[in-house]
Amino acid sequence: MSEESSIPLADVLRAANELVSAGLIEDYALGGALAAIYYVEPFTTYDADIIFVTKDKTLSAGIPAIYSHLQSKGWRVEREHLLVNDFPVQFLAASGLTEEAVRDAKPIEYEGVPARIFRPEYIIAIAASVGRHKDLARIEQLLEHAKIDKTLLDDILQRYKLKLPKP
Amino acid sequence: MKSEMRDVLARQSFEDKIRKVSQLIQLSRKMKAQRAREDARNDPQSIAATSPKSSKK
Repeated sequence: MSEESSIPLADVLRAANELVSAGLIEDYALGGALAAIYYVEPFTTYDADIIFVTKDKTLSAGIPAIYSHLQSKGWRVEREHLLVNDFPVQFLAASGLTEEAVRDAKPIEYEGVPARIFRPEYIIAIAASVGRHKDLARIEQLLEHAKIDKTLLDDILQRYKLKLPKP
Repeated sequence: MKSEMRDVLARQSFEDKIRKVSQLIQLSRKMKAQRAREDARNDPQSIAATSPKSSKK
């Protein structure tokens, strides 16, 4: 991301929509910190996570095709990230809990671009499954400031045998 | 930060929040650059040691 520019989230979402239209992925949703920020107060994060459901269920999960499509649109590759306007974006193949989170994602519009974003119940469950300090802080933030469907959250936690940290 | 203030920030539009995150990133970069400049001023040898010109031939 250049010094003067802002996070090019509309470009990221537009690109993800193009991947769906081009048949390279089945579906996607914005996850990670930016998804949490949709529900809570803004905080610093340095990348965007796009979690996608693959059409191709092989090991490579269609990732080379995604990279090649985005590189043809001017995106650059830097280690595990693709960069749009110098802003790092990670494309992660969904499975299990994250696949369910993509399929049940909330439709939104960002600067006129239609997109999908993880529901807070899934962000909490995924954070509980990862369990780093920042994930535990994210759970606390969401429980405090987002509207949570308690029945849905309990159902997800139970099915994936997850527990919330004790306050 | 007070909980009520955090609630107010949480209720902003997503677009506004993303603009604020961008500002936070820029601020963090400026602070890092400033800290690096200050460290270099306080300890010029640390720069000299890492400079290619200082390496022995």
